[in-house]
Amino acid sequence: MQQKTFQKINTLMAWLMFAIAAVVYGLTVEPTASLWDCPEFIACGYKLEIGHPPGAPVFMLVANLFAQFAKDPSQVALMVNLLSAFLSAGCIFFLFLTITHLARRCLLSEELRVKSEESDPLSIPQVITLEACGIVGALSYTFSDTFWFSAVEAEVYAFSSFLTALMFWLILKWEDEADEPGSDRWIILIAYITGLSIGVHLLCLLCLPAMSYVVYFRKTKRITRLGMLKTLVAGALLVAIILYGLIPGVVKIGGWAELLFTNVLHCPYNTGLICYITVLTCGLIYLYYKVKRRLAKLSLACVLMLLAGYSSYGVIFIRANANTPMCENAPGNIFSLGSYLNREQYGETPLLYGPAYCSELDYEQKGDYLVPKQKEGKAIYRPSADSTREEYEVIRHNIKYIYKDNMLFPRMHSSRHDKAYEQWMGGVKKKGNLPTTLENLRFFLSYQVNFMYWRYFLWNFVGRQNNIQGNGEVEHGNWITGISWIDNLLLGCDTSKLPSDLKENKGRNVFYGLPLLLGLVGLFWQYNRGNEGKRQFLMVLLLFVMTGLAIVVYLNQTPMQPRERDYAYAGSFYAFAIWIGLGVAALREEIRVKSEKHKVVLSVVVGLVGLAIPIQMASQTWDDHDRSGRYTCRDFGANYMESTQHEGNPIILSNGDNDTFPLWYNHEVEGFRTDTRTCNMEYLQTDWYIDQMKRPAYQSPALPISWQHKDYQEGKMEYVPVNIDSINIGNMVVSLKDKKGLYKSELIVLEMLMQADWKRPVYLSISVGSSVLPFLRDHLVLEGLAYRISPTATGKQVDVERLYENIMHRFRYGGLNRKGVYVDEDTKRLANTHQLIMSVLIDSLLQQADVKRALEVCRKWQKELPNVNVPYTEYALSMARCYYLTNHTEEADEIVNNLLRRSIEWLTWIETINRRRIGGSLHSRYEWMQTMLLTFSLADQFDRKEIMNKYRYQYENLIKKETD
Amino acid sequence: MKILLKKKLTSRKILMIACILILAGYVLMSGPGSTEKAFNPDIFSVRRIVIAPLLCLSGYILIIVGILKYKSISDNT
Repeated sequence: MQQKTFQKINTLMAWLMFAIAAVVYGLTVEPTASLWDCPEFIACGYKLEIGHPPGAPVFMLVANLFAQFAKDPSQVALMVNLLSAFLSAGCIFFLFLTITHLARRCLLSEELRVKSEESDPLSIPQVITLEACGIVGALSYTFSDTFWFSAVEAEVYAFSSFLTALMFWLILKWEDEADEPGSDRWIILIAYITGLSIGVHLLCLLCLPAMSYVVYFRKTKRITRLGMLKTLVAGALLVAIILYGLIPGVVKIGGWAELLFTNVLHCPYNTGLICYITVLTCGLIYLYYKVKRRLAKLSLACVLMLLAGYSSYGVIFIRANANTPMCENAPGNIFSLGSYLNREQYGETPLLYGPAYCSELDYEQKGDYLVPKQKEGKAIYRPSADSTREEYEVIRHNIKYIYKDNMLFPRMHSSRHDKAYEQWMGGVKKKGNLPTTLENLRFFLSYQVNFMYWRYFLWNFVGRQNNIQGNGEVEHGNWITGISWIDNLLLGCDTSKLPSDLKENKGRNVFYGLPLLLGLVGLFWQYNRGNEGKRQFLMVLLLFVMTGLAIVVYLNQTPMQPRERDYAYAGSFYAFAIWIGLGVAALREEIRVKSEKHKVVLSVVVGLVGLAIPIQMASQTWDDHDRSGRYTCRDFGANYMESTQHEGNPIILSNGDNDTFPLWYNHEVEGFRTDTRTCNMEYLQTDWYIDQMKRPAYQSPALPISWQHKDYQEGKMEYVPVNIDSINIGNMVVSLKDKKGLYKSELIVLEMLMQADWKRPVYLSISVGSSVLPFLRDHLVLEGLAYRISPTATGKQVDVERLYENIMHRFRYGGLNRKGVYVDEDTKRLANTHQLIMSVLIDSLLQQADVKRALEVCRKWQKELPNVNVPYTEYALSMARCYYLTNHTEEADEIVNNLLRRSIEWLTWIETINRRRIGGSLHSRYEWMQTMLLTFSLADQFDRKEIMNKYRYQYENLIKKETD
Repeated sequence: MKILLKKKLTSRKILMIACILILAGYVLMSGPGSTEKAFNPDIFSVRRIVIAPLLCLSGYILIIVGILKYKSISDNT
């Protein structure tokens, strides 16, 4: 076959893969915002607001483009989700081209061609095999768990996967043309895309080391071990220089320029910045034209293009100065921008050397007291709070505490997670105040590497237990094979006795390890294809390790993560998908046939066999990735705000990111209830957020805070000791007896209540933990998904009328009554929260003897949150009680039977768990035991003899076992 | 070896146009913001959140076109 014809076929096939992926993702995309960070990203794209550090300005610009295609604001989220779908399909496109490129060079390398006496390098059977490699590899990745998850929501990970795939393909393109004069443009383009990728997610930098090997192998005259080592170091250095040098350095020097021009030369703000950028750009361009040597010119061009991509942060800078309602860290001046880019709000994790979680602080004598030793770090500048002066002031210095005990490569570093470390490890052996090196290593391997990486890898290519987040317990989030005797050993239980909840969990995907096996076959085959194969193997391996294990090392993760983190490793799964594709070629090559016709048939057959794998994967992963028809993030966010009254511009206090973003989505994107204001308790500890609360937004007036910026500035009022017993706010007495001190956020809340003088309603979302604002807990009235802070309430009260109105008429339920809708764990929890307040309402109505309306609530429950989508929990017992009291015995029995059956299934299965591993499941056992006891006692209360007799034997057995 | 070309190379032109687009976009995106006294709805005006980002984005994409048109380092581009 001619080269040109092959290229045409190959490109056509690549577009076919793109189309398939685009259709798959387009069909399963979420029609509105998704939990958790997506609402923030959608608002950032649509209205150019500022999200959490380090920001994603390039994502913002492209999302903005897609948002223009929305017919009305309710479609904006869908458009941004389609952006992810579209870019993910693009990633599949490049994956296909990459696989066929690599497979072709492996199959047809000069030496091996001579060996196997192939006369026509592109024979039909070989083309079929090549295309099959690409198809199988690309489709396996298309239907894989982690990639699909990111492809249907508005997060940066789809975009970043696309850029990684693009960059990797570009270097292969360069490799093809490396001897031609125009090949330099590919390198420069890669530098530019790298710069752009800084404005999406830093993950893309991680493919640079693999790419440096392509350059080395192509350009070196002789390949030596030393040369390969040097290339590895150079690649790693390149990443380090960009990550630790260029990105923070450019901003730091900008800071110096600002200080020079504004503080010393008394120019207005940002003059220094503009001069600096002009000088930098012109200087680099001048150098580029001045310099003669080709390599120097190329390097300068690359640096220029990198900076050009990085310049996209101008969007963040300019929009922060507009003071948008959502403007995290307010990076509107060069110093705040610097701290925003360095993600300083997340703190530092030690990598090579530092304290462990149990290290003690070093103390020193200062006068009469012993104070912790501190090292004063760099000065922190901010624009002067005094708006009449234009000057940067030092607001504080960075303080680093000095620890007595430090170790190499500390893996258990966070003192806040001390109990979590000990629990995971089952006790930690220490030497003095540090864990021993072996214990350190054990944690690294068992938790960070094994649990937080290999588990995710095996989810994608062997099988996944369910979609519930796990922390090591047997019942949640483990990897499985689908082969029962193996799984019994893996999990240490009897999988044939799994409760129906887990068996039917949509997140249960089993591939029987076939994708893994095919990938390993491809891996070994590639390695054994002569020098070409070994070089390719090294490249793909480096990509696999850099976007997988290297991230594990860098992150130094603590236990008890708020969510599963598999999305970070999509790059390494991409690398493995390359090997899966090559596995098809490996299988084909193992079988030798003589006749031409047989060769063609064999290629087709092997291709079809390989294709069975992604098709089987799709049959498993479709049901837990199809998010169509689900509007829960939007509706539930709206419900929190609808829990507040319509008059008086209410304020609602929320806990942190997760329960704030859905509300922000409703405000910023759909313009819903813009008379209310969401106030995030976590951010209320920072001065930039308090500044924002003091500005009006849409129809919501500024929050009643009388303090000035200089009062609550960073470093001031962080934690104030308290020595009074109570405060009077109007006629409400707030008890501070058990509080030793108040955090800034709590002080601001008290100030707000004081200034509002009960004229502006303040609500507390029910998602706020009970340890936050404990002194308000005796003054709350439940009106919906939020409590109103009320001066007249005693203890916790329920406003039955308001609660009824909200649940029955104002709330929307996100399409959870739709048959087949995918309810993941987080959505289920939010639905359960709604059911909780429904049960409170039913109980309150029954208490008032208002059975008619209690029954109406039950009907509403069954209609909007049916059991088939949101399985009953013990909250449903209120509904059962209501049914019994109104003689709807059958409906009540249905609930009681369901709860008893499921709790007994669970408890019976937990009994089969190996004694060594049952520790993690004790919590589940306790919960199901409670459910069983409560349900049984309700059945007893209403004399349901038949039901009780049905389950009595198992019930008593389990009680006996519990008390043994 | 220096090769002097009489005609200006289109790659440089394209990159310059791209720069101008990006700068124009940023200039249009700027403007007064909300203050403690009042919310400024102009921060969400068509000029600032539709036209300006589109200009910036087209500039950034045009840079890619400019790079692809780049012939060779040894030519004086």
